Parts: sequence; structure tokens; C-alpha cells
Amino acid sequence: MIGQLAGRSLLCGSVIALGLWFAVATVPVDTDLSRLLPEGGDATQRWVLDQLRRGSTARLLLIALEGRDPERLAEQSGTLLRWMHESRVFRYAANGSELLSQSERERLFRYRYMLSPVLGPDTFSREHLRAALEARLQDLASPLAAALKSSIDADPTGEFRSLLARITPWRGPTRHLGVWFSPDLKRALLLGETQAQGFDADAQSVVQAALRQAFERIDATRTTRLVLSGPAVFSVEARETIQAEVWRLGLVATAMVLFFLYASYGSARLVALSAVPILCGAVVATLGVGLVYGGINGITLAFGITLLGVVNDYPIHLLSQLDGRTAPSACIAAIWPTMCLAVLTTALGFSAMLFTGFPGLSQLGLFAILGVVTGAAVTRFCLPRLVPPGFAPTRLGFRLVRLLDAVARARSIVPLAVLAALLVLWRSGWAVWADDIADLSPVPREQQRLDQELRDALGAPDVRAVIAVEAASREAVLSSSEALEPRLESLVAREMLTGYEMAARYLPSQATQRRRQGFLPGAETLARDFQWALAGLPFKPGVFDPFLAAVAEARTLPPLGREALSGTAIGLRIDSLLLERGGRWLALMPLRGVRDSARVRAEVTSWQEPAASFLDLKDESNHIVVSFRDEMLRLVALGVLAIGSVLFIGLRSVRAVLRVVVPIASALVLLTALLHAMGEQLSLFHLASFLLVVGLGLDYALFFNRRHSTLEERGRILYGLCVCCGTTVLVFGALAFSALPVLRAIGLTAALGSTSSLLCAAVLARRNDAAGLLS
Amino acid sequence: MIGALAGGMCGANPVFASEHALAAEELLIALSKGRETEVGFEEASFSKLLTAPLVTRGVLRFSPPSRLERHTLAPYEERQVVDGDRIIHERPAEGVRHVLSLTDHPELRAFVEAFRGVLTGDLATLRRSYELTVEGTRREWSMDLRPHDPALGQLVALIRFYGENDGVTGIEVRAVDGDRSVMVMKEMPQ
Repeated sequence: MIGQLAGRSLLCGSVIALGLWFAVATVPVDTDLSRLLPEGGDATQRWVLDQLRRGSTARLLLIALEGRDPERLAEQSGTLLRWMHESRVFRYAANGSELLSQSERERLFRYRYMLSPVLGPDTFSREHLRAALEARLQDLASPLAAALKSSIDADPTGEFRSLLARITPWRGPTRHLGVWFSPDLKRALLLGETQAQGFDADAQSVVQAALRQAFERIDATRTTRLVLSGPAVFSVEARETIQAEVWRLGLVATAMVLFFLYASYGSARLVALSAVPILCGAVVATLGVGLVYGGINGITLAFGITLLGVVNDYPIHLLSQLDGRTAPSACIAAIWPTMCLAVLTTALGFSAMLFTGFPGLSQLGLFAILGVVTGAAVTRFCLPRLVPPGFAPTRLGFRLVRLLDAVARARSIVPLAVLAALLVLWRSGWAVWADDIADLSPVPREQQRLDQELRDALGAPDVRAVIAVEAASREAVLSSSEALEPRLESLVAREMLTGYEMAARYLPSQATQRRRQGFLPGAETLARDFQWALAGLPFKPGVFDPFLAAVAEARTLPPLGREALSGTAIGLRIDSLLLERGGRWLALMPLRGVRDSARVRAEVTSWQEPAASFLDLKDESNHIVVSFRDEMLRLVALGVLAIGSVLFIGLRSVRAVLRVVVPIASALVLLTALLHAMGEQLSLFHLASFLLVVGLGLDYALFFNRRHSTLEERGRILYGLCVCCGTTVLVFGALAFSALPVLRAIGLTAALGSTSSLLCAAVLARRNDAAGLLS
Repeated sequence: MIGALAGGMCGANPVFASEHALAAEELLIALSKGRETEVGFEEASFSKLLTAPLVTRGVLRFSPPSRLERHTLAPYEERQVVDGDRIIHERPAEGVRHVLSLTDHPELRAFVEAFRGVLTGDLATLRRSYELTVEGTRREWSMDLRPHDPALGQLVALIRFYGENDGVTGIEVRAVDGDRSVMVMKEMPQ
């Protein structure tokens, strides 16, 4: 017999180990946080949101070197920039030292007559040429001559200067010692755009680690502080924080639970056996999600394992029933009907998550359902075979059960408490929901503030407000953008924005370029008018031949296209602002310094341009979260109906169903009021934890209301329920102490919820004859 | 220093009456006796693009320690004022007015410091950006400033101050490509 048992234990152990190894080896865990977020709204919004998560703005790394000596900072800035160029992990890197590379300058210079924003029909009139030449003479005589006189011979009308003024932001970062600095000169600033996508936490953490190491080599004396900021930095830090917290708290919680189980039942073997269903459940759930979704998200995995806390209850039910006399399989068969009902209804509850369009929640729902069902099946079929014959837990805790019965006598406590809770909620105006997605962010406010400071200093666009213009071709979208420019300028003039960016600024539409080309005079006309303008001015003959040749060339140049700007910083900038998908083109115009986005939205609507829309990403994200929450609530309501039906089929009496449902409902109301009183605002994560509480509550209520054959049996079962509740409180209580809002939400909700479920179930349960137990 | 020229307002310093070789320190100490004053100038700009030099006339004003103004009066009106960290460039006839921050344009700042440094005798600032060479004697001297920094070197190759005793009589600025300007101090225009 022992041999058989040992054999089975070994088999079970190896199956679990194999399963774990297989799951870890074959199911890819991805850490792309953006895949968890819902895709919402209409097609344009989804496109823009996607671009903002994966596009240039998400890849932008803001770098600051903090120190006291600006000269040293400038030097380190230059060295770091060189490393960034050489390292090849950056598509683009700048520190203010060269706004345009030599080849970029040459290319733009060549096209200056088609790109210049000020070129008009009278740029080449005699009078204008004369005025330009006189101004150039004055430039030569001015003490600033050396700075002003370059390319006078090829560009006397100064088109290139106008072009440069348009391209480089007029309120750009402060330049000092040739590089960008914050206004107080305490920070040297750099910008980098990574090859890796913004929300790919793995790749980003590699890039950031390499950057920090490189800087440590540069700053041998450790006097300068390197600060990194941006969406990519946040996602890496979030992931690291979450991982660290989950590890730490997971270890603490597991240790506490193991100790608690041992203390409750006095048997190490029981502790080992109770781990089997949950491990099997986790393995099967991971494999299942991997099969269906092609991988599992790290956050889903972590979250899912916590939701499997309900599986912990099942082996405890079985193991606490063992009395050494009855066969384990008979024990489980006795309680199986109740347990089966509990499992089914819990799975129905989790299915509410499965049917949302929220990818993260769907994965989580599937994980939880698979885990729960597997855990129950393992408890029913495998666990009895692993129990040594004659095994019984030594401690039975009847004293605790008597205490519970005493508490439960105060029947009216629950209705009163529920009324009080409803009053509290009503007083607060039912404002329980967290609507701001920023509250869910694990990034501390301090860091968000620093990011905004760096963003303002660098003139980098916010990742927030954007105007999007849609059209059927690149040319059409550029033309539409140009048409909107005067309106945007008026918004700036009225101080509703501080600035904006658009692709058409760097790459005018071909129509505009041709129009400017049309203003260029023919060779003879120009020569004649230019001679007239030159009369009397002391320029040497032939000085302006390059100018005449350039205009002649420009008359026949094909318009500048995107291809001509490949491999330049400007080309990259254009790529981030002009998007194409399936034949539709989208131009993005990131806005800077929007203070009142509702007003700007109203303005944009008043333009009556059907192709142009204003998107405030923070509002959109919040809106999406709210709409998903509403959808999930609807699905939960459906789930509740389904649960009610299944319970009715299982219990065959409306009263019995009510006895199960009312405690759970009361517990949820109490929980909501408690959380609200503690200052917690309910988010989607709280909602997911509510489902866990419902699962636990169903378990408790069903077992409390079960017809027990003997008082001893009742005592064992109730003690088992107390132990279950205890383990749940320990595990989730540990999470409740986390610094992360998400983990704290889950922990508080589950710990408080399971306690209140137990108490409500105990108080509202069917009255058994407890007399026999007291003797 | 300019005052020395405008009617000999600054008295000749008897300490330096002898004709020994001059050191930069001595010269700058002597020049640092500047006070608010103004002097006329005539400047000729030579460029390889031009057949003849451009001649401008105007007034230079200096208010120690940091306000320097160059007001061109003929043949057109133009004004550059350097005050602390800002440089204001104006051409009233064209309605042009630029304000630049010297912090944003370090080469320009070093260029301006050459003039401010000489006028206030600030040897330390001058030495930071330039290499100083003094030739001649106390009675007739010239001081060359050559920039250390190649970025500044793009703007100017050499700034040369000429002078007699305590005052500057002329300034020559030479650019890398051979263009240069020569400024000579004159009486105030009427």
C-alpha cells in the first residue's frame, strides 16, 4: 500500500514538474503592456492610439544630465551623443549640437526655392531684389557679418534662412556651449528615439541599461546624475516594480500560508497535498491561454495566479473531512455535489471577463476558468488517491466553530450593516468609480512631474493632444494640413496652444512646391532684373552667378518627395507624422501646451472640416476604460443571472438560492462601502477582484447551507471554511500592503471581501441544530 | 579708455612714462579706467565679394560694466546694443529688430566679451577665450586676440586693438576667409 502511494505521489510530482517545465518552455510570456489596453473608438482613434503606443512619441527617450558645472555637462553631453550614434540602438539622437547634418543642409539648401515659406510672386521683382541686396550689404558691414554672410552669393534673398527659421522650433531648448540645456543651466538635455518600440519593456530595458552603463564609463568622477524619462522608461520601471513587488509579496504570502496551514491542521503532508490542485490549475491555465492566444502576458499571469486563490479552498474541504475511518474517495464523493455547484458558479462569474473586448481581461478570464475547473477536477479525482490511508488532520478546531456559531446568532447584524453601508454610499453620491486612468499608473507623481519638466524644456510634444487629418493620398493629406495652418496659427495667437508640429512644415505638398516654382523667373528676365538691382552697388561682377544658376536649376527640379529625405532626421520626423494604412493616409499634428482641451476641441469642431478631428489621448483612454467598465458590469449582471439559474437547478428551491445569493450580495455591498470609506476608488482591477470575492462567497455560502449528516461533519467543514478564509486573507492581505495601486486594489478587495463573505454566510445560514455541538 | 581720446579727459598716467616693452596686464589695467562715455567711429569693411570697402560712420557708447552700443548713422541707420546677456540688433528703416541671448549663442558672446573685456580691463575673461599678444610700447601699442575655441574661430581669426597710452585708437577684425573690417575712432559727429 505504501509502495502504491509512494508511486502515485512520485507520478503526481513528476507530472506537475513536467507540466511546469513545459509551460515555461513553450508558452511565450510577453511584456508588451499595450496589448492589455483596449482598442476602442472608431477606426481613426484606434489608429492614432496605436501610433502613439508604438510610434515615435512612445520611443522617445528624454535624457537629462544633472550637475553643477555646465562645461563638464556640455562635454559629457557630446560624448554621450557620440555613443548614442555608434551604438545603433537609436534611430535618432540629438543634443542640440547639430540641428541638421551637413548632407541635410545641402539637400534643403538645394530645394530652398520650393520649400521657403516666404517665397511669393514678388520675391524676384526688381524692387525686392534691390532691397535684398542692400540688406546683404548691411549684413557685410555689420559686426555680425561672419554669422550673416554665408551663402550670400547663392541665396541673396535669404530663402534658406527663412526655411531654417521655420523648421527649427522658434521656442526651442536653450543652447549653451553648443548643446541643449535647461533654462537654469543645471541640466544638459538630450533626445533619443529608440529602434525598439516604446511599450516593449524587454527591449527597452536593455537599451536603458546600456545607456546607463555607457554613461557610467563617461562620468568617471560620478559628479553628474543621469535622468531618463519618457513612456518607455515608465513602462520598464513599472514592470520592474511590479515584478519586484509580486516576488516579494508572493514569497511572504506563500510562507505565511504554509505556516498557517500547518498551524491549523498540524500536518506537513496536508500542506503539501493542498498545493497540488493549484499547481495543476496554474499549469493547465497557462498552457490553455498559450494555445488560444499564442502567448500569455506577464501581467495576466501574475494576476491570474492571484485569482486562483479560490482553488485553494477545494483541497482544504477534502482534507479537513478526513477522519481516518472513511475512505478519501468517499469523503470527496459526499461533498462533491456542493463543490461542483460552487465551481460551476465561480467559473460563470469569471466568464464575465472572457467576453469583454478588453484583451487583457479576456486572457485573464480564460486563465481563471481553466485554473478553477482543473483545480476542482484534480481535487475530485487525483487527490484522494494521494492521501495516505488512515490519514487525518490532528486539529479540529471545534472551539473556533463554536465561536462562529455564537457570532452567527446575531442575525440582525447583517441587515443593519448593509443598511449602514447603503447610507454611506448614498451620502457620497454613489461616486465610487475611479475615472482617471492616471490613478492606475504605477508611476509616482514625482516622476510624472519631472517628465513634464523635461518635456517642456526640450519642446518635445506631449503625448496627449493631437489633431488628426485623414485623406486618400499623401498629397491630399499634406494639402489639407497646409490649409489648416492659418487656423492653427490663430489658436497659437490666442494662446490656446503654445505650438504645433506638422509634416507639411518639412515637406510641403507638391502643389505648393509647384506653385512656388511658378514664381521663379526665366533666365533672361532674372538676369535683366538682377542687373538693374545691382546697379551702383559695390559687388564684384560674377559674385551672384551661383544664385542665377540655382534659380535656373530650381525651375526644373522635380518636387521634393519623401524619398529624397530618407536617412535624415527630418525624414524620421515626417515618418512619425504621416502614416499610411491600407490606402488611407493620416497626418498627425501633435499640439504643445494645450491647457483647456475642451475649448480646443470646440474650436476644431467649429472649423467644420470633416477630415480633421481633435484627439485628447488621456480623455480617450479614460473614456475607453469607462465604457469597458460599463460593458463589464453588464456582463457581470448577465453572469449573475446565469449563476442564479445554475443554483436553482442545483438546489432546487428558490429559498435555497436566496440563502446563497443574499449573503454574497450583502458582502459585496459592505465591501464597496468599506473600500469607499478607506478612500479607495473602484477601478477595473477592483472589479476583477470582486469576481474573486463572488467565487469565494459562493463557496462559503453553499457549504454553510449544506445539509450535513453529522454535527462532527459540519464542524469539520466549517473549520475548513475558516481556514480557507484565513489563507485568503493572508495572501491578499500581503498584497494590500503593496505600494502599487493595482496590487493594493486586488489585495484589499479580496481580503476584506472574503472576510465579509464568510461572516455574512455564517450569519445568514440556515439554522442547524447546534445543540449537539455544544455538548 | 575712449575718454582718453575724446579730448584727453583721462589724465595721462605718469607711472608708465618709460618706453619699456608692454605686458598685457599692465595695458589692461591702464585701459580699465573707463567710464561712461561716447566716441565717434568710422569703419571700413573689406570683403572678397565687394569691389570697394563699405564705409560706415557712427557713434560708440560704453556704460561700464556691461552696456556697449554701436550706433551706425551713415549711410544707413543701424544699431547694436549689448546689455548684460542680451544683444539687440535694430534696423529702423526696415523695421527689423532681433533680440538674441548671448547664452544661446556662445560664439557671439565670446566675440562681445573681447570688446567688453578690453574696455573694462578684465584680463581673466579675455584669457578664457583668447590668446593675448601685446606688441609695442606704452606710447604706441597693439594687442592681438586670437580665439582658442575653433567654434569662435569660425567667426573671427583675429581681433586687433591699436592704441596710444591709455586709449584705443582703432580696432581691426579679421575673418577666416580673409574678409576684414577696420574701425578708427574719431570725434563725435555733429
